[in-house]
Amino acid sequence: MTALSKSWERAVVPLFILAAWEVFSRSGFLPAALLPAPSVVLHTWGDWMFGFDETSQGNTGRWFADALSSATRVAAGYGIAVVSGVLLGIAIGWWRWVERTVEPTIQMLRPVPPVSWIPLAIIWFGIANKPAIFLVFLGAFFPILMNTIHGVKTADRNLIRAASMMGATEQQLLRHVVFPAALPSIFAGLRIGIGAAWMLTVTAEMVAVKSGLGYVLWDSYYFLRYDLVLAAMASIGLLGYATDALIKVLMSAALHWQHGSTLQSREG
Amino acid sequence: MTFRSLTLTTVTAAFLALSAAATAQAADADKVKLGFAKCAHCLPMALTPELAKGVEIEAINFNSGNDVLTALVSKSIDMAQVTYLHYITALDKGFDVVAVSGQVNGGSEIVVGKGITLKADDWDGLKKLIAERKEKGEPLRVAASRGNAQDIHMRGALQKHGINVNKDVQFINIPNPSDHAAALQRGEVDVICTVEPFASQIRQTGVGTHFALPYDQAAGNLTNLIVTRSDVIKEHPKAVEATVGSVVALVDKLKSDQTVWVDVINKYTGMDKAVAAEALKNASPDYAIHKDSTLAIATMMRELKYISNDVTAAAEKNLDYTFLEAVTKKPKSELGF
Repeated sequence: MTALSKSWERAVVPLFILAAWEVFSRSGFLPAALLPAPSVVLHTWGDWMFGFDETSQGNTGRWFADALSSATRVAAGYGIAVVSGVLLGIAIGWWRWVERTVEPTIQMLRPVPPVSWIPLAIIWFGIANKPAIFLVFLGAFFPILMNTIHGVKTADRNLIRAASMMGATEQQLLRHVVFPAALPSIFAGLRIGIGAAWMLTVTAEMVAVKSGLGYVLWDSYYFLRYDLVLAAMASIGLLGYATDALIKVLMSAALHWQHGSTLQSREG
Repeated sequence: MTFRSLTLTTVTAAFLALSAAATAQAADADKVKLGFAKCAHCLPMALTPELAKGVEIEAINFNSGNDVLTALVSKSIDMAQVTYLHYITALDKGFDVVAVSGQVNGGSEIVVGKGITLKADDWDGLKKLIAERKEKGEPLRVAASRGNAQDIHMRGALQKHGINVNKDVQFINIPNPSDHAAALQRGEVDVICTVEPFASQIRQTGVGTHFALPYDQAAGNLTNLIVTRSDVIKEHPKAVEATVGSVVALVDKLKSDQTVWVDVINKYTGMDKAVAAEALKNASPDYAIHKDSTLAIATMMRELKYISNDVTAAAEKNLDYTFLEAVTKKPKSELGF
């Protein structure tokens, strides 16, 4: 199958949805302002980015600053989640005593929805960036942690035995055997985590920040600017897709030893 | 059928089903779905079903006024309790909303943090403090939830006393009023215009102290409004009239007996009854629709660039006193027109 036909296949569903949405919005079933057509959203989005006719009012020409604000919060929260999630996940997966002492608390905290942490986040960190970063961290931390634990626990015992027999120390075992063996699971966690981190930007930016895609989304909703709400949603989806693609590239480079032996390699 | 075509068919069917659901009409002949938000002034709307005569009201609680308004314009509900600001914003966006009754006004209060030693209504003292902070390069931090009635009340009151919110102070938008107390407690803002019952809670817990009630401006103390759509009025005029009747009965009840009001706040929010009772001191049950102040709000919102069009004509045109006149037997000149 050629690259062109593959691209076309990927575009079929989005194009169909956009076309149907455009027709539905212009049909008059609902007020046009309630469900703006994709063309209207695109126009507003363009003004938000490049500021050509102030359609997006106070947000005109501010998209890159807003995207950067959100991306910074996501990068900070996600970065902390990656470091702490992977390290703690390895510790829980490898040392039984860590599992016994830490995991019950982690498992109890895991089902608590991140949004419910908002009051505590404000009490602990105040308003503006810090609570927002904390909420993003919460969203990304648990998927990364759980997948890392899974990756460590499912590492091939024979590999560990073989390395031990060859005199590897515990540190060497963790670094050269267990960690690489857990990498496919860790990357699965990283991919789920980045999605959760972007999802949480909308919640996180409810808490008295002054910029960001989530902030614009909420602020626009207060003034019934559904075109901007949709543009903000699309922006978050696009940036989420881009960062996920970046992690896939990293994954492909890091897991080069899997090439040719998995379904993913068959997909190319 | 291949798996690929099955997938495409499923996606198409799901989209069509969602579209059909979105256009579904909510109104029945003798039933009205009435949405209301979660604030001290809004919650007594939960009592309207038991006060209704000639109509079956389903009172539905939403988290915010925006959610209520969105549900109304998308025809998920038939009538809604929103704020005057929502009414103006909706008209600016070209939505079909018609105001049919007032409900409760007031509920805004300007409070100052512990470090600010200002006596109540000492506007000269506030102006002096603002000037001092400005000179030091540390502007006074003033917070509100942008786009709420309290935001407009505060901006109007400050402007009336010669303070420009955009130039003289640093405005901080804290969208969720329940976050106001924490921000004030941590000293991250100096002054907040907040809504009841959070204002009472802030005072009673000692996080902040009362400075002023921001009603001395063109928008007055207008807060809540009952709105519907013209298609609901056209198709179910009796149901709308009966619903307005239950709102009028509610207002009369709230004026004479605040215990039910305290109870309903306590029931829906779990808030202490003492706080709820305190909050109601800053509440004015009022079914009138105040035309002049409504138009002043429309003008202020345009000046603040909260809306992009001049909607004063539409705001006046869409005030429908018919139902209030029928229920109260008063002329509209006595109902705020």
